[in-house]
Amino acid sequence: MTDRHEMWKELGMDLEAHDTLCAVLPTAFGDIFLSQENRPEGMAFYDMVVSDIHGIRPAELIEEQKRGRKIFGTFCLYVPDEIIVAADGIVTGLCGGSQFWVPDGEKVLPKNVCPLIKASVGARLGRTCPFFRIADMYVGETTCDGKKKAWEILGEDVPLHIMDMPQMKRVKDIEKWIGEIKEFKQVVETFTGHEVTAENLHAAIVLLNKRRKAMARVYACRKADPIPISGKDVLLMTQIAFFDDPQRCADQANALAEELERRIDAGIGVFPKGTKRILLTGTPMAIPNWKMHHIIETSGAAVVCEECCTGTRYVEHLVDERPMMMEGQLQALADRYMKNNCACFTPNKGRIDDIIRLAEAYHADGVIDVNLKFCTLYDTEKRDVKRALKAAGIPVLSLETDYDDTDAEQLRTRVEAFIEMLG
Amino acid sequence: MMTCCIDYYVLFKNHTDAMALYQAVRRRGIAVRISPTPRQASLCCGVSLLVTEDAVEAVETCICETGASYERIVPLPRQTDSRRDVFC
Amino acid sequence: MKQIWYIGIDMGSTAAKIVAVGDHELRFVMPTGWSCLDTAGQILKKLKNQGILPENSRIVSTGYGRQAVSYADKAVTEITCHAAGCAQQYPDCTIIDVGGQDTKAIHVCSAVVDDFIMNDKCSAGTGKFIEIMANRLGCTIDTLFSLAAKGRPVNISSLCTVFAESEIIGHISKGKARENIAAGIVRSVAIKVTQLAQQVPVTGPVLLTGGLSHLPYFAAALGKELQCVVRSAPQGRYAGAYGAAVLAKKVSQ
Repeated sequence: MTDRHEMWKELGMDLEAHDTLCAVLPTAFGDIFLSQENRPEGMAFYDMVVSDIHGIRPAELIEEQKRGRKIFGTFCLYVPDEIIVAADGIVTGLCGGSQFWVPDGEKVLPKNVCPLIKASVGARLGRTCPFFRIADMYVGETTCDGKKKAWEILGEDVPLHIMDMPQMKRVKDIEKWIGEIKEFKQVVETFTGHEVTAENLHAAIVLLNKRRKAMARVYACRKADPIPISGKDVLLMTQIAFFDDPQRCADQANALAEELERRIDAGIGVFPKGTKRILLTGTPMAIPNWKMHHIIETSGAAVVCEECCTGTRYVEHLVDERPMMMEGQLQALADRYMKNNCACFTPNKGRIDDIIRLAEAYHADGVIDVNLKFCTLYDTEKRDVKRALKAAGIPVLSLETDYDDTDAEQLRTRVEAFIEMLG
Repeated sequence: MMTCCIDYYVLFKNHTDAMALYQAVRRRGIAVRISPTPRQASLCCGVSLLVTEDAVEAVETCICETGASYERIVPLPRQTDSRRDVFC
Repeated sequence: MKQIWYIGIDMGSTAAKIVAVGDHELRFVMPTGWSCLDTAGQILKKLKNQGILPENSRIVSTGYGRQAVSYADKAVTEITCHAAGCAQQYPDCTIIDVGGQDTKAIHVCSAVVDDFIMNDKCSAGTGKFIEIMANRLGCTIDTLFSLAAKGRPVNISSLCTVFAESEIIGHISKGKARENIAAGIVRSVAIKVTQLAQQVPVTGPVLLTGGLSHLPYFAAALGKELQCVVRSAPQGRYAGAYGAAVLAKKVSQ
């Protein structure tokens, strides 16, 4: 196999530490994904990407950098990809989803910060992820307290721009958000040396809508019973979308969706008809965090939808393509992004409406609200989620976990008991 | 109980070769999977082809007939265990 | 016709509880030890000695080691089993199970689980906490409770077992009465269990199951915090195993 060590060395990575991560990935991926039966053919592409996850795409990004393109590392769905793409920049999602990076993060962060932030900071400072090395600029945002302070630490090590997020969704908050997008546009223009015009912004909006539509088409296939694809496999597709080329992502998702649509017509599924259907809601599951999906899908149920950032929030709601002038386009972007219902907003009733709507649309038998440890926002919101779902007659289980393996058995007991409860 | 069967990993020079053979093999209807290369097979991680024992002959025939390029084929006791609960 | 036995095996973290229902009822308990697989083997041997053979039985396993019972027809979580056991007598109830490593509150409506909650990794508010503190006081768990009944609780404020143990060492060094420390330990567990239980609806008869369910003082201490009557479940520590046996009957139907 192509030896990537030279490339990693040039990126200034800690090869020895990185090697321990490389050693565990094949085992985990094999256990979790390759142990599944009757997977769609279209998953081969995603299997390939993961098999050389720190090789194939990083090498492509480095090639693009040599051509003068800039790579922006982002950590949140509220950061509008369209602006970066319009300026001929490349977006790569940087959220850390592995326990491997947590100890390096804990060197500089308090222990009671969520594992996603600890892993993200650890991946950069520990120099054990090529994507974190390659990104020319990080784009942060003020979604939660942990992240706000983490930017100050990361900003010492890498150029970083922060978007100031509103915390409410009143008209004046959305206006303020437009102002933030405008400022971001200027930052990106200066950094890339490319002006964002109404024309290239329109093209970017169309391209990223195309990606959303293709992925949404895959999601829609999960409404069928039997389900033509496992929750794990859709999660993998979604996680990879965050760092793949948007056009290729759309093409692969469309090809996968076509196959799934044929499966539905033929009545082919990956779980027996009537398998209990779970909607997951809560904090994001950054690659390679496959823990909850794996536990649920090896306990006799199927994950049919994810109401979270690595789920429907990434693929729902298109940006209005009609405005052809900059002002209208920026308004359209702000409108689209403010439709995401994250627990960092108050009030956040929209999320509960989304969960109930999706639970019905995907014919979920129950909802599992799973949150990363120390995420105060989602942890607090779980009370409202539980109350609303109970009132709607939808069984719900609230769980809290991190990236560690050690609670797997206890999680299994809760998940199995919940599935038994669904009858 | 787990049965201890042997799987075969076809290793390649690069992922393009791996995908080329994967597609050729799939066109013949042989069940194979793309897999990360296990440590036991090679220290260099990357894309390989996971072939079960009953399909390995057909894959070898396919390699001969298409002249697909590959590095070597490594037999290993089955690596996957869905109840191991070791995440990365 | 051969006698069919319906057997529940509750492989807990501390003890394995077995209930077999046939022409008569048989129950026994044994320590789980370090290997659930070995314990499962010993249980099978013991059953065979009683003339109970797996081929004449329907077996449901439960508890944290439920997967280790390879000869079971089905593995069911302890949550469902506790509910099935208690619901025989109380179709609407709330079950509080204080186990060796887990504490659970289960709300049962019309004989099915309606809601449940389980403690996370922390051992405060579990049987483990009591066990550690009894060791610290140099007595058995049962003695700790009889001491507590005679004492006035000292304050133990730490949420963490390790820190709470340090607090207790502090109390011991200050010469506080053992009875009062014991009462403080029991109250601390009762408070933590109550905090957990109140996350599900606590309605109907409140039943205590698990390894501490035979201790009236503990039920009373819990009841004081929960502000309701807490009674020992009819099957006590065998509630899970009994429920598994009840479910074994359903498996065969």
